[in-house]
Amino acid sequence: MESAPNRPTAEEIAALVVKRLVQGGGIPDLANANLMTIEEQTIKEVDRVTQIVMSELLAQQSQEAQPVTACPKCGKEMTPKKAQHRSLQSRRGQVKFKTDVSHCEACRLDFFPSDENLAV
Amino acid sequence: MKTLQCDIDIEQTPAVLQKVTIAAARDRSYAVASRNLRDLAELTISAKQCQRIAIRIGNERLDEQQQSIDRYTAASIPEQQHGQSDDAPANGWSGRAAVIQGDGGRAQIRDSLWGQDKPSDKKHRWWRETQAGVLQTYQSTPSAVDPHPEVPQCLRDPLWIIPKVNEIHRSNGSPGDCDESNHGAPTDNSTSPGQSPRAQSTVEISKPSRKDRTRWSSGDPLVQTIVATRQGYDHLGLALAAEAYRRGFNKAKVKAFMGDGLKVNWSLWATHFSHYTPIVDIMHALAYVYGGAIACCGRIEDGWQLYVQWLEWTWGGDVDRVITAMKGQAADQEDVPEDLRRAITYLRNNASRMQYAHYRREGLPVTTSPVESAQKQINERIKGTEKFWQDDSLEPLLQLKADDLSETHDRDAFWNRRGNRNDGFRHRTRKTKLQES
Repeated sequence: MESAPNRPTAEEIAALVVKRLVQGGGIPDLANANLMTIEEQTIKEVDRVTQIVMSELLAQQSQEAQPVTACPKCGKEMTPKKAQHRSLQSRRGQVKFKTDVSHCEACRLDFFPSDENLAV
Repeated sequence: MKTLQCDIDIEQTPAVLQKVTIAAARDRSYAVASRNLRDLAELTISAKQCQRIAIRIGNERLDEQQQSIDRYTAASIPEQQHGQSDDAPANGWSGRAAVIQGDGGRAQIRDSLWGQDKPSDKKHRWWRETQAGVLQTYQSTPSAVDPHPEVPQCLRDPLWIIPKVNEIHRSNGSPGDCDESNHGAPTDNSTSPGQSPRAQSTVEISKPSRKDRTRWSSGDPLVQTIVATRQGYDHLGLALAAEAYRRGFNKAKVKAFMGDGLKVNWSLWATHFSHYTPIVDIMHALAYVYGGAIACCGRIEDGWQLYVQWLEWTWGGDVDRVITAMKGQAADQEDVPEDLRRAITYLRNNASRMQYAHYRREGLPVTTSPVESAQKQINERIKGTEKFWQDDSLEPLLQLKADDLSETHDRDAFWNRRGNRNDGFRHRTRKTKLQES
């Protein structure tokens, strides 16, 4: 598989996962591991990676988003609030991320924006 | 401004919500859905969460259905009868028939007596009616001659027909104004249509031939949409009409509305589908013909030949001849048997909708098997002696079940629409003082 410079290939990522599984204790005795164990441990490890990838993407999306200044409902000025931690159950386990929050005094509602290109 | 398109107040991603709603609609109960999600999808969602999510998503689908009904009712009457919605499928109707079928089911509903002590004087019944409808397209080839003039062998086979007839009689024990209600089990064994055919040694039993497995009428079924509700037949009629409008059924040259003999079916037909050919399900009609024939003679052995004769006439659409014969039988008897009286009434009321040879020539079906099948699948989810529903939790689930059974429900499109509706605001659901009071 070809890859752009500085972008690891899927094979390279897989090799890291294999290394983690074999050397990190997921499958300590590979020679005697049965297929059930190999499959279970691999999925568990890849699920962890998936959760981290999703969390990272959401964090990146949040950073790239333009700050919201006007309320989408009434158009009045919004005040930024402290970013909130959210945890969502995804198909591959719990995903944790931070999300910006703005508050509209006129509507008395909190708004949770994000970048429009990376909508989940 | 786009948002993440996930609910601020729900702890699952839309992809997980989608799986939960499918499991909640498809499995026997929320508890089974929860177990299956854990074991098959590796998702830990409690049964209560499954229920909450299913009701929420089901209600959103009900809102969409209502919008579809509103669009239909806002159209002019000529448009309702001859037009179609802008997003109707672009296919042509050549060689295809559009068929709408309605039927009723049962579910146990909690009413105001729920949780109270049992009344000592009489037993309280929780069973209430649910309604279902199917919009089905068929391949259809009209012909000048009846494509299937001979009676299918299975209808002459007591081992095949008698259990079917008994099932129809059992399921028609509904309250209401229909001609076919209150068909309980006959008290006298000698005249019982439910008597085991195995005991009737003199009734000739023939094995259905391979040829008999051909379709009785119309062509292969194509695309199916299911509608299910607890809001009554008026709502069912509107939902079916709106869906027919959306699918462009009005543009079909060959179209039919089918049901059993229940009067309300024909009210629906008159209100929304009067430009469709009305057809009574032949199996329901034969249940009455069979009951009348056996009642005439008192015993299955004696009445069977009479049934076979009347079956031939009914199959050919010569219902008037059957009615005349039944009246002749009734005139010969001092005390007209109840089953015979009912059969005469049923056939007389529905004769105009029983021209089966004509329907077969038109390429139309003569049985309501699609809606009976859909009802059975809905029953698997909602019907059970241990299941007692509240209306506001049953209706959304019925919608989800109907969506799951429908071939026209675009699940991905719904989740896209749902995501786009999400405005990114956290809406407060706290009740106001007025609502609380």
